[in-house]
Amino acid sequence: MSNPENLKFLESHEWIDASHEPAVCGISDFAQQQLTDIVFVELPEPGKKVAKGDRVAVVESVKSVSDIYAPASGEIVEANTALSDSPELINGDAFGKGWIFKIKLSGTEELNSLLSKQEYDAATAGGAH
Amino acid sequence: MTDNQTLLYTPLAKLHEKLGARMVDFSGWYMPVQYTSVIDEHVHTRQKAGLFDISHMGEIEITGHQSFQFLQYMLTVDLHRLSPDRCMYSLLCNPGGGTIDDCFLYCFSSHKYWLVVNAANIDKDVIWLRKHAAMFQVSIRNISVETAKIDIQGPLSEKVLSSMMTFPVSIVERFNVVEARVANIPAIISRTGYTGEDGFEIYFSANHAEKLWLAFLEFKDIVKPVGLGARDTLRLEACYSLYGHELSEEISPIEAGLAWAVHGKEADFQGKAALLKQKKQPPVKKLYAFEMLEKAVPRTGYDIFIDTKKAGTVTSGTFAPTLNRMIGLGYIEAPGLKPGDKIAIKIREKLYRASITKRPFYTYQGGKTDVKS
Repeated sequence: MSNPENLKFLESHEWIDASHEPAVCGISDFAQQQLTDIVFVELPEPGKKVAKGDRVAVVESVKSVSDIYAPASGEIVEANTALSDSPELINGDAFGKGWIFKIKLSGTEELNSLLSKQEYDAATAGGAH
Repeated sequence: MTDNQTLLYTPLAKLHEKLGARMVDFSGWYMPVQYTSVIDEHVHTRQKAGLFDISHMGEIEITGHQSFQFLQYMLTVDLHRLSPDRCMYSLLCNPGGGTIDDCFLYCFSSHKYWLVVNAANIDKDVIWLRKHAAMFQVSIRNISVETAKIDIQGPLSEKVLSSMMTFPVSIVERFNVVEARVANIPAIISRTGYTGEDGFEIYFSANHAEKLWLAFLEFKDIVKPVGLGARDTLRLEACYSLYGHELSEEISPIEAGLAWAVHGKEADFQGKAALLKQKKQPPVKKLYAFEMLEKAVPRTGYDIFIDTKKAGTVTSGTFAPTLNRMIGLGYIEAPGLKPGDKIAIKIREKLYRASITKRPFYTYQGGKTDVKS
């Protein structure tokens, strides 16, 4: 699956869609392919205030535990509770039904430092690393 | 390990790469962790047949007319219980009863045995055996490099393997060992495994490794290659110990729940006094199996709590694909814990409820008896 144009990315594979309010975040299709078999997602509590780079969630596959970081500062307003029973939604639809949390951004300046689709494509072009 | 030059390769490593496996550094070996997905490979092995490259494991050949006496002194099992063309699970212990390695002992005659040992322990085991060999007329040969090993595991293993041989492999019973040709390649076959399923372990010359692997893959929808990821979840459901997790030089087989592999034999053996004492007076620290009552994955190294007190450590934990539950093994220091008793696992600073369960999580499916024969 190609990465959608309207998203911004972290090098650690989180995506953020800030085209609407609140912004939606998840992990990329590349990341879910690397993890395979996602079996557990620890979701953030709505109401939690986070700074860019804070750990907000945890995604676990059979063999690995991955921290998920806030792509920008703000307040968590919703978590995708469907992932509690169906963490594999991330494997099936990383940019859609597999979203992880919604965040009310404190501002938009931090978004400028994130990777564009083209930059993220380039960063992940080598495959697994 | 990051230095590629020190990585070790099985004779199948190149083929795994070519066939699209995801390769990782597994305690110094360049091994496939998965081909498609851990869960798919796990489920396939339980339903049909999984193919495993186990060539990294060590084979040590013991020959000479005092082989029996030597191994009787080195191992925890009583070799009187093992006849030619049979194999059994055993342990190498130090004088304090700590576990140097766990292994499978193959008997070809009273003058010829094999020890099949963990990959990470090959050198250590050979040194340990040689250190004590001077008193015995034996010869110890490490034949690990020239020996390839492929396991086929799962309910359809017998059917697949029979069609590659000149006789039906159904005549080979659990823990029996035969010399025979598989796809015309000379091999030693035992009806054993590490998955909780019926299956076979096949030893043969490393030169033939790719040929035999590809011959098995001809059975397209029946046989699928399986990586070490699923090997671990399969063995954990079946509650088989993994050295470095459930076993170490600081842990005795008795603590690990392996008292059935420590025989009260007449002959002296390494660790005898310590182990037989523990058998009479079971240690307070013991290995327990548990399952999570709340959603969270227990992992190696996490703390185990009873009420609000730390009482132990998780040695292995995973999502169990067959059971669709989160399961684990761990050492707990608390007398008389019973299935159903509540414990808690500390995961990222939070306590999650879990419950002690009976071992194993998944009962051996090959019929007859399991490893505790």
